[in-house]
Amino acid sequence: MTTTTYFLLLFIFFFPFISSAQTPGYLGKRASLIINSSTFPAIKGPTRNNKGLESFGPESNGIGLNYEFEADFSYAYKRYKSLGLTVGHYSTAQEFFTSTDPVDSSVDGQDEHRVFSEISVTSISLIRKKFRIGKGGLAPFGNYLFGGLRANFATGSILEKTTTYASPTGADFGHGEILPDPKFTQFLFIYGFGNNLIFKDRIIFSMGMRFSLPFKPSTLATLTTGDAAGRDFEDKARFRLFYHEFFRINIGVGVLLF
Amino acid sequence: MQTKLTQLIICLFFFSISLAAQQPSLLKAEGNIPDDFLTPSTIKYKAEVEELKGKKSDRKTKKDKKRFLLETNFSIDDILQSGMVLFNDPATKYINKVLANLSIEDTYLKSKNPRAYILNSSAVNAFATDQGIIFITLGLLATLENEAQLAFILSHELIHIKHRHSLDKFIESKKIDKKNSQNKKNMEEVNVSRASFSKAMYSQQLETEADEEGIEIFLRSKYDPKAVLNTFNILHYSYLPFENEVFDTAFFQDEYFIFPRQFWRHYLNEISPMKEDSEEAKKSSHPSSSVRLEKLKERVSNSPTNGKKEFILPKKDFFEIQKRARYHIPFLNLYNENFPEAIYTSYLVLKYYPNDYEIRKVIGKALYMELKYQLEEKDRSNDYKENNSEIEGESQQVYHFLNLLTKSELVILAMKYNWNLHLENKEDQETIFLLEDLSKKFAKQFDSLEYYFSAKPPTPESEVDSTTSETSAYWSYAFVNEMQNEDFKKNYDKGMAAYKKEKAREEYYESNEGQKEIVDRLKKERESGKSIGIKKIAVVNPFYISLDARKDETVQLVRSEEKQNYFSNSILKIAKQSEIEIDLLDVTKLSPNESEKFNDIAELNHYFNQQMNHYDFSLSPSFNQNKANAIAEKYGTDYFLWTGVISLREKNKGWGLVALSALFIYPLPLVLPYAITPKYDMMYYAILFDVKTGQRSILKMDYFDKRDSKGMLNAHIYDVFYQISSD
Repeated sequence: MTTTTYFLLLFIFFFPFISSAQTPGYLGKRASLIINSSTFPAIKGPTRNNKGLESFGPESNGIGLNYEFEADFSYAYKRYKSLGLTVGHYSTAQEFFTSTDPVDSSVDGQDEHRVFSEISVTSISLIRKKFRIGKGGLAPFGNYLFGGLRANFATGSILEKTTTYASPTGADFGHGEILPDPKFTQFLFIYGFGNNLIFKDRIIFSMGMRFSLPFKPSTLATLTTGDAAGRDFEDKARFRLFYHEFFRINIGVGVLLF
Repeated sequence: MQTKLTQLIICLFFFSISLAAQQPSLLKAEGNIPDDFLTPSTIKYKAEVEELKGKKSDRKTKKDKKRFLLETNFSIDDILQSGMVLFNDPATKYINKVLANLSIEDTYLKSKNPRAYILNSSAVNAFATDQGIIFITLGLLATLENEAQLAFILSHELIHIKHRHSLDKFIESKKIDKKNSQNKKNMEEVNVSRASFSKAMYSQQLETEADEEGIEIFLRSKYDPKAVLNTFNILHYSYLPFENEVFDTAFFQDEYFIFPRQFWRHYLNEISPMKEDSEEAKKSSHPSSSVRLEKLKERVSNSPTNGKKEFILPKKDFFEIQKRARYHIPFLNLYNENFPEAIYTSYLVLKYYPNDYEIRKVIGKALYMELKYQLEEKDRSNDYKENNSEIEGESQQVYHFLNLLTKSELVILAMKYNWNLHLENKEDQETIFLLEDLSKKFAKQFDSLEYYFSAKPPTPESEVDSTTSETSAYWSYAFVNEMQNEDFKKNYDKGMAAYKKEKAREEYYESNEGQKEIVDRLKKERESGKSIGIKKIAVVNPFYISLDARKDETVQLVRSEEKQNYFSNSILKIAKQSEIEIDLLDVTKLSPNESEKFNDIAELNHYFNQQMNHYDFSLSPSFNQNKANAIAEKYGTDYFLWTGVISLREKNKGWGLVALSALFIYPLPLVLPYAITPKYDMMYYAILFDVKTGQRSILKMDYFDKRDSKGMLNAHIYDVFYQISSD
């Protein structure tokens, strides 16, 4: 999907809702800023600190949490609806196996690498929340469902690796370039539900769950095969991000601005 | 010459003053509001619980007593704050003077500081509360014949206070219910009847005790003992109006408009004599009047009457109070929607005040409301139509008459009566408003004034033959006089135009296009709310009730009061934050010198109840529209908001599923959160009335399955104000 198509889609999705209407907000305040921490236990792949069930190393390194910090600015544009822009950042990690040709071309076989790499992501999301009338919601207060679009700007870098050389003396000569550091943008649909509680008429406590699906179904197709080997670092990173993004629990604290 | 002229002017001045003094008016609360009305129920309850702590009794009884104190304090305060209770008015002052004439020797009774208030009700009744308050209804005051009878009733009530009979009754009732619930379920019906019989028996014992000891207090006073005897007679016939006068069948007639004879009953049901103890009386909370009378007769007849009087206070004071109480009764009957009774009691009051415009308006309004009920075929809260044949006494003439009138006849009568009222006082906004609606209904029934009512007045030579009227359309002569008046015809034309407009509107909204418009509008309102564009309103008695379905006593009285207090405070606070100016008319927030506001709230409560009762009617003027208009002027707004919250904590229902999970473990992670999450519901309503037109806007009538948190309340209070103020 081209960036143009992406922005066209954004325009179509959000434009009809940006119109003036009776919007009480919460005691007249419609804008809010929430600092969110979205998190989920590291089940597939390690955290940036190498925690999690599939951590880098000889054995499992306990339970770790992937988390992301986000700043979420929302504005209630209708009684039950709000539109928000969220900017977030997180780092996660992945472990993968790859191979390179030995430096000494006379040696049969390949140098095998077990790589621990970091993926650093800056995200921007546009989110439309619909507050639930039946639950007494009035934007930005109460229970809500949300949907939106998210762009992850990711970069990858190798932090650590262990290599098994095809040649017994291979270590003395080093090895070829493993994979180039990736830099890519990933687009996702995000959706979920949550609840904003308001205390002292100003402080917001927010909780929710978020799911996401990438735009590119091919990523999903590869996922189902489970065969990650042989692809480049970017593919592996996208693959890793999918797991990271698929399900999150959000907890946040914020303020009503104006 | 000049001196004589001055004397004449002075005479005229005093004459006009005496006329004005004779002009009756409705009693209303005056002066400072007593503490009984303003002290929060929780404070009263907690103080009484503190007293209880020092006393010895078993745990169960103590628990029941605490529950009693809770319920009694809150329910009595509900009555006190309803606006139905008068204070510092001439009638209340009078009954308290009579109370002061009774010597109280008992220390406990003295400590309770017995005091009496008037209850604005047409029922003939009196009752005492554990707090030392005696309520006397206007219906009783209107019926009693002398001061001594009132003194006897007060003596009887003092014994109820002295022996804490209401507490005894409560505890006994609990015991009976407990015993009853232990019996087998298949005997449920028998048990219920046995329980109510047991309760009635106990109550009758207490009443007998109050009679027997009350007479001693009474006999110690200077009141004539013989007065007691007729008191029971009065109580027995309390279901009859305060007088039993023949209703003049020509009351609604004029020289041309004469009702055929079949409208009037030739034989009326006789008033049944006082019976000995009947089966019915055994189920009553009081022994039968004849039994009560029999028990006291001997004691009364053996008592000396030397120097004893029927009146200790000036006799004229009693009859002045009685007259004022009687003046109230037609209005109360109108509020209770007993229209025949309202007409009959108005007829009785007109004997004292033949030209009283307000009383005649009660009749006009009663006819109008009776017509509305007939046209709309709405269920009545007061089903006097069903019990018509059981009515005793002269008032049954009016019941019978109204029952026989067809819709067309009724609209003619209502129109004629109210039109003539209007001619007497063309400035009266209430009658103008009522006629506006009535004219539409009249036009709907009769599509041509000339066609139906053009019958020429009979010539002076030929007398009106009532036998002819019976066979032909007698009502065609209804407007012989009125048809001479151009304004009457113009009023009809106006009514016809309004009716046609209303009909066209109804037809439009029944069409597909109209239906679509309604659906779109409702959808838009749901999405965007309303935009009424009003900057000033008055909020009347914010209501809050908190229920807990997990507990035996579902209504959480203390929490309800706390939340109501928070709700009222939030309304004030949030109004400041929003672009709306409000006046909070909340009885619980009044200061002692705001009795005028108290009266206004009482009147607005009447207004709201009436409007809500007739929710499915088209716009109705209030029973006291002039007062509503005056209140609107006083507060500088026509818009009055009624708002409230009902919150409910439900039973958690998921534990059965958790138990099932013991057999099949996998759903447990889903079932467990469901089982342990508390379940709440709340309903929030906000209805804004334009009290001058009766138009209403429902800003909220929402049900949420959420807890009534502070954030939730604040958000919705603001939303209501926002919808009201935004253009």
